[in-house]
This record gives sequence, C-alpha cells and structure tokens, in this order.
Amino acid sequence: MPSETPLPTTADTVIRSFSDPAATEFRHEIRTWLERVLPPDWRKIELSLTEDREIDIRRQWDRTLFEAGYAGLSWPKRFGGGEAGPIKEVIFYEELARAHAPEGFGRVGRVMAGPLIMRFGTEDQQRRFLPAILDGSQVWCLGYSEPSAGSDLAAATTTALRDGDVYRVVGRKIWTSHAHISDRCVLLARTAPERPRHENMSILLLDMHQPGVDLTPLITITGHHHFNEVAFDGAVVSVADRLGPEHEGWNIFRESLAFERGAAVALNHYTEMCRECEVLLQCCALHSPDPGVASSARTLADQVELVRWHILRVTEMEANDLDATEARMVMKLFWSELWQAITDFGSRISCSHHRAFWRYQYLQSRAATIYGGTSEIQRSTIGRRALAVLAPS
Amino acid sequence: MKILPSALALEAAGVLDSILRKHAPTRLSDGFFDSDHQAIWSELTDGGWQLLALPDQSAGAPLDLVDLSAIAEVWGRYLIPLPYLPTLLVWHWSRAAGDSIEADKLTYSLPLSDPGTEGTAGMSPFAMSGGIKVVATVEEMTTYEPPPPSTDGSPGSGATGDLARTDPWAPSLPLARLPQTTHGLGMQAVHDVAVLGAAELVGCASAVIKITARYTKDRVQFGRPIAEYQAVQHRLADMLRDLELARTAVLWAANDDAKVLSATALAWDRVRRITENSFQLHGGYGFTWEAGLHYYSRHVWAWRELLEACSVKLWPL
Repeated sequence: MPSETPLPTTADTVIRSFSDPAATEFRHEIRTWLERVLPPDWRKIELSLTEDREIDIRRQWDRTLFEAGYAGLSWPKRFGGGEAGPIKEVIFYEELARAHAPEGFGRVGRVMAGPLIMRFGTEDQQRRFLPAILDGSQVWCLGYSEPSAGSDLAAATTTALRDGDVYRVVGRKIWTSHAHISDRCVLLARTAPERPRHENMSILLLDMHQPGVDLTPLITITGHHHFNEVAFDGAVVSVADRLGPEHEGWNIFRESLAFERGAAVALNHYTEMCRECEVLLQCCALHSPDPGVASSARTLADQVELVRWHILRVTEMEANDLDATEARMVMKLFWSELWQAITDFGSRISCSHHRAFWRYQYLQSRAATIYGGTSEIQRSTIGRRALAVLAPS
Repeated sequence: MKILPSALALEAAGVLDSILRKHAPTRLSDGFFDSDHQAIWSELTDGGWQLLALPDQSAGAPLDLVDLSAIAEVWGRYLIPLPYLPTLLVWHWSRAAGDSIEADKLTYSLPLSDPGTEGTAGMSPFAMSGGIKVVATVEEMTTYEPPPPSTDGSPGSGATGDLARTDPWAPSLPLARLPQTTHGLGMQAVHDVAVLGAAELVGCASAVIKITARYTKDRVQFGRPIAEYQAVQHRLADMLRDLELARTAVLWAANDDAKVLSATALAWDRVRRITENSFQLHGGYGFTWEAGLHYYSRHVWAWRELLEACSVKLWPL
C-alpha cells in the first residue's frame, strides 16, 4: 500500500459545531484520504484473511494513521498531537467506521496508555513511550480485570511487591485484548496489600517480552480469539516504570475512565447496527408475511439514528463547554441494549439466507451489556447521579 | 443542521423559567383545574413572551425550531394550563404572512384527516378558552372565532353534531373538535406543532423525574430512604436515560423534516415511559389524585391524540 506524508490540510483551529464549514471540509479530507489508503474491496478481503495476514494489515494501519498525521488527533501538540477537539475526533471516527477501516492495535496506546503517561508520567517515561505509541511501533494492552475482580476491580489481587529497584509481579489478569501482540501492559496491581481498598495499588508499565509472563488465549462464544488470560509469575517492573506515585494506582485508574472515548465505541456500534438494519429492511423484514414486522424494523432503525444524533449532541455540547455528563453517561446503556434488541429481533425473523449472519450477531452482542461497565453497574451509577443532581441533600 | 440553541434562546429560556417558577403551585393538584390564570397570561403578554419568535422581538434574528424547543421545554416543566405555545407558534407562522393579528390568545386546528381535504373537522388545543381565535390559513394568517360552547359545554354542537366535542381530560392540553371548512395548515405547520409539542413533553419529563427523585429520598421504608435501594436507582437510571434520549429525539425532529413524525413519536414514547416509572416509584401515594402525577400523564396522552389528528400511524406499540 503506498503511503505518503501529507499533513492535514484543514486549518488548525478547534471546531465548535458540526455545521461549521470547517467540519464539512475535514470530513471531506478524511473521506478522500480513506479512498486513497484503503484497499479496494476492503470489506470483502477482510472476511477471508488468515490471522497472520490480519495482524499485518492491522499493524500497517497504525503506521498509515501515523504517516497521515491522524494518530494523535486529539493529543496535545507538545506530545506530537493535533489538538483537534471533540468535533473533529467524532467526524474522524465516524468516517473510519463508515468505511469499515481496519482497527489497528494502537488504540489502547493512543486512547489510554498514552494519555495516562501524558497526565501522570515522568518526562523520562514520556520520552521513552509516547513517540512509539504514536507511530504504532509499540502496542499496549490493559492489565485490569482478573478472574475474581471484574465489576469490583478494587478487589484485584495481583501483587507487585517491591524488591529494591523493581516490583515483582505475581497474579493473573483476564480479558486482556491483544496481549499476544502487545509490547507493554498498563498493569494495575497491589503494591501494598496490607493497606485498605483503593489505597493499595499502583500502576506499572510492564514489559510483556520477559520471562514470567504467560498467555492463554480466551476463545469467545463466537469462536474468536481476541482476549487472553495473562499469568504473571516473577515478571519484574523497574521502579522507573511505575506510573505516578506509589499506591495511588486506584485514583489514577478512576481518572483514566474519563479518557475512554465513548463516542468512538458508540460510532463503531452505530455503524454495525446500521448494517444490521439494512439487512432487516432490505431483506429479512421485507420478506416476512407479518406486516407488523416491517414496522418494528423501521422503529429499530429509527432508534439507531437516535444513537448518532445523541453522539452529535453530546459532542457539540462538550465542544462548547456545556455540561453533558448525564447525556454522556446514558450512551452506552442505550446502544448496547438497542443492539441486543436488534440482534434478537433479527434472529427471530431471519430469512434462511441470513441465518448464519444473525446467529453470529446475536452471540457477539451478548457481550455488549457486559464490557465497558455492565448494564447493572451503569444503572446504579446513573441512578445515583440522577439523585445527586435532581435531589441534592 | 443546528444542534445547540442560540445563546439568546437559552437566556430567554432561563428568564421564562424564573417567571413560571413563581407561579408553580406547591402541589400539582392545587387549583389547576379551576383557576383563571389570567394574571399569569397578562404577565407573559405584557413581557411580549408570545412574540418571541418574531425577528424584531429577538434582536434581529428570528428564533428557529431548535431555539423554540428550548422555550417549549421550559413551558413543559410547569404546564400551566394556558395556550402559550399555540399562541407562540401562530406568531411564528405569521412571519411569512407579515400581517398583524388582532387577537390575544391564538391557536390552530389540526385537520382530522390528510391535509388538503376540504370540509372536514379539526382538532384544536384550547379552542374553548375565552377570547381565543383560531388561525384558519397560515398563508393569509386569517383567524376566526371558534363556535361558542353549546349547553353541554362543547363548542358549536349544533349542525355539526357530535363532531364538536371538547375533551378537558388534560387541563394542560384541552382539546376541542371543531368544524373546519378550510385547511391552511400544511405539513410544515404540523411539523412545528409536533416538534414543540415533543419539546414540551421533554420539559414535563424533566419535572416528573425531579419530583420522583426527591420523593425517593423522602420516602422511608425498612428504615432507609427508598432511594438507597438498587431497584429504585435502576428505575431512576432508566428515567434519566429516557429523558436524555427524548431530548435528542426532539433535536433530530427539529433538524430533519423527513423524520419529524417518527422522531417525535420516539420522544413521546420515552416520555411515556418516564411517567410510568414515576407512578411505580411513588407507590400508593402516586395513585392518588392529590399527588398530581396524573396531571403530566394526562398531558402525554392528550398530546398523542392531537398528533394522531395528523394521521400519524407511527406510534410504537
């Protein structure tokens, strides 16, 4: 794939509205670039790739993003980013989702590890890690959840006991995406097990290429390998690779929850649901003998459009420094349950041609109400927020 | 596309909120069914609030649907039984006609069948209000007086027989069926009614959720405020989710002519769910007349009826 190094042509100002001509111009810029860099018939090719070939393409994609100047779109300029602002970011993610662009392996680095290091890291850590995150050469994973600590992450028991200049890591992490590709891991571990909850953990930037790090693939109900279990037994992290103050890991982790761009994930699922609604409206629902089915399909399609409008509303509010906390909080709860409603509906009314499609989508969507905060946790958080805002003591 | 109301609209909405809050009753069920409210109406018209949508009233820039939605949402929080939004809308439409209207309270009549059909009936909010005029055609901005109420309380129930009935089931949106000989309300006007009506419903919903959140903190059972129970928090979460989604749906409707009716139907459905959750969280007390929660629910269902007048067959089942 040819790669050039054009700089983004749009003027370097933060856009505050989706109806700003600069927003339309930026969208056009991204579309044009995508047409140039994506392989023709990308969607068809994608479905027939071997795992190795897929890994190559995804790694290349991280480099392609970097070479085009889009890798650090919203990073601060002093760290090599574009400070593009939320509107440009959403436009960027939407166009990539629409074109079904490959997903590289650099997302965790760009969205989570990088911002953590920018916010809490030493200058030395910033120098050592940020350029490699940005250019895609260094892949990161997150070592948070454990077999016995999912929703209750503060109960994590992986330890990292101090021994001179290093911490020695013992324990297990689960649901680690791309651990088998990763170079480094943002590890949340107990560095002071004798101290109470929330005061006993640190964040360590662990090197995955060392003895004492053992991976077991986790195969999901759809038959795919995406997640891993990572066992640590004697892996070490130098004190220079600890992020932030010792035993302050929980607070750092809590702050980092705000880095996760809910809009990007929501847009990926919006695009997925649009495709599903196309299948419904153009095929399965169309061929149903029950007229109510087409009407239900249209209502589901309308709800999907609501996801997009909601993303636009939240983003433009935040671009204008308006408080969109509640609107943002409900986004994942809405799209995840909508997705399940669609896959459930599609599975029931599926035509024979799309049966395999709906079965896969149905299984895949089961996880949506669990990852990124279960619906139960979301409802408790949102409910408490409602009480705090509407009925303050 | 416009996502945020203008700064002017937001400021106006804030001022309107403080005016209406002064008049909000301590309990919803107090007085709304019998009071005159003329004092409130005079305060609004003296301040020119019904003319907000006109260019010369808003510092040169006419307020658009997104802006007016912010105003309608504020109105919906208090639901004072006055024809403020219909009057505001008629003045909004009068921009095209450029005529001055010799009337104080104004309303419209939505055709009870497809627009363009001659000689059918219309459904009109507040048509039985004293002194109100109904706009006949938007293009010429002509108005007429609705037929006087007959002895049974419904306007003009003479030659038009049982078409002319009033339904004061929802004091905040009393509907009358009027004989209608001409149709001047095109789809654009119907769309405006739908968008502002949905925005008003969002305001209702925001009041309902606030009342409900406060109730759950006050109500103690098993030694704790019921707000501390997860099941209660989860219902409140659903209410907050539905409120935010209804707000987004109104924004969508205000921006997408092709999808106004289905987007407002989505907004309606979310608001309907909020009112149902409010009953559940209020327990037995919510089921009493005195609690006043039904005041909002009545509005929700009356509004649906008004929009069904547009032959809208898009309501989620």
